Amino acid sequence: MNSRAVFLFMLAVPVSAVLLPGCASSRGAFPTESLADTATITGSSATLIVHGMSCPLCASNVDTQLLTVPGVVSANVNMGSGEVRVGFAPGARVTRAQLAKAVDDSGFSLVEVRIP
Amino acid sequence: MNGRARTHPLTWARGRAAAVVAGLAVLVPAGLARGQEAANTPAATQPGVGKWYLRQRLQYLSLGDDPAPERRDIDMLVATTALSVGITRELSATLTLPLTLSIEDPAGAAGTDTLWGAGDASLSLKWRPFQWDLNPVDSVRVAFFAGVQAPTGSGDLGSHSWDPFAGVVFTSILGRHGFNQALTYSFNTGGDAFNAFAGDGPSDALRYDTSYLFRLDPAAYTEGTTAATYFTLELHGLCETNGDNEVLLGPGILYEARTFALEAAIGFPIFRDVDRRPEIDLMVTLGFRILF
Repeated sequence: MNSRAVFLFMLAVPVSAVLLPGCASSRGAFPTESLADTATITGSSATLIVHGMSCPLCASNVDTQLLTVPGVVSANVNMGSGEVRVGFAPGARVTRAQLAKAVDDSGFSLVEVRIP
Repeated sequence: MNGRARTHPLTWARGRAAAVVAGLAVLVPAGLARGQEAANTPAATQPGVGKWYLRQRLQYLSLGDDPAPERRDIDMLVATTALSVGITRELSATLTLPLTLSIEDPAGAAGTDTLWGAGDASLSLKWRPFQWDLNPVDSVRVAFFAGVQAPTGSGDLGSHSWDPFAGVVFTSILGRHGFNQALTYSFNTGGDAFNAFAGDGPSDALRYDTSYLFRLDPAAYTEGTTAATYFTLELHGLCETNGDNEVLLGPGILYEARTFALEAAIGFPIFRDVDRRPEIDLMVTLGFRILF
């Protein structure tokens, strides 16, 4: 029983170390206002700035999520700059909120949405 | 005289194999992972919402220094299939099922004993409440995971008990360097006398897994980056409340493309204080992962 207590203590220490500073933001500079922006994007493309795409397999979460948004026909990730270029179908009614939610669902941090 | 000493030698050996299999299941709990993750160390990464992630791993283990009277050498092949799905941004679920082939060679005896079948399946949840994405590449994350190993194994390849586990994993990816540290505590609720050790008997087990990854290629991500190759170095420790302790260290290689990854790793013992089960002399892991 003593050994079990020691092990539990060993596990509890790092867990506590994580929980104590737990007020930190988990999404960094995530522009939460984008989630509420339901205005249709005019134009045929947008560029998203995304942070945290650490590896190719991770990054594929982003473009596959974006391609599930109705009206999005292409999504190209530049892992070096964090830019994700999104192309829209002609006449598509895509909103910032849809793009923001797709990035959020992919597990990464959306920093900015640029409309040319 | 303990319970094991009263057990029939063959049954004991089979129980020992089952215990090793169960121990291996503990070795790969909820950490069956996504991107930039070494072969046998969990990471605080997970698939996106609604995305599925299949990981198949084939592991060869050579076990020796058998404490049993027959002092068997055991060669094992463990094929582990893990299927993960992203439920929310922070939450994912993983189902893991091992299949095992165990060949036991008793010292001084002709012939071998062969065991083949499914091991205990496990179901786990991983919750990642902390994530700091510092720039396009760098990220620091912390995740917690918990699950249960169900007594679904066939015959002596199962533990015959519901064994919950829980843990925490820290991941940092800074430029070309990745670091993962995971702690996993497995609560062993018992089982029969054949599974009285290797992290599956009355003793609980604490796993501490550490991995370092260095991105060999490319040196820097560009617009044209579609794949990356990493050198990995992993350290695996299994501490049991019965006093057994074992630490493995070894290098590996990881190749990641946009929708799949290939991996290979090897592990050698660097510390062993094991009295109640065979010791791992060599561990070789091959695997692939697919995101869909």
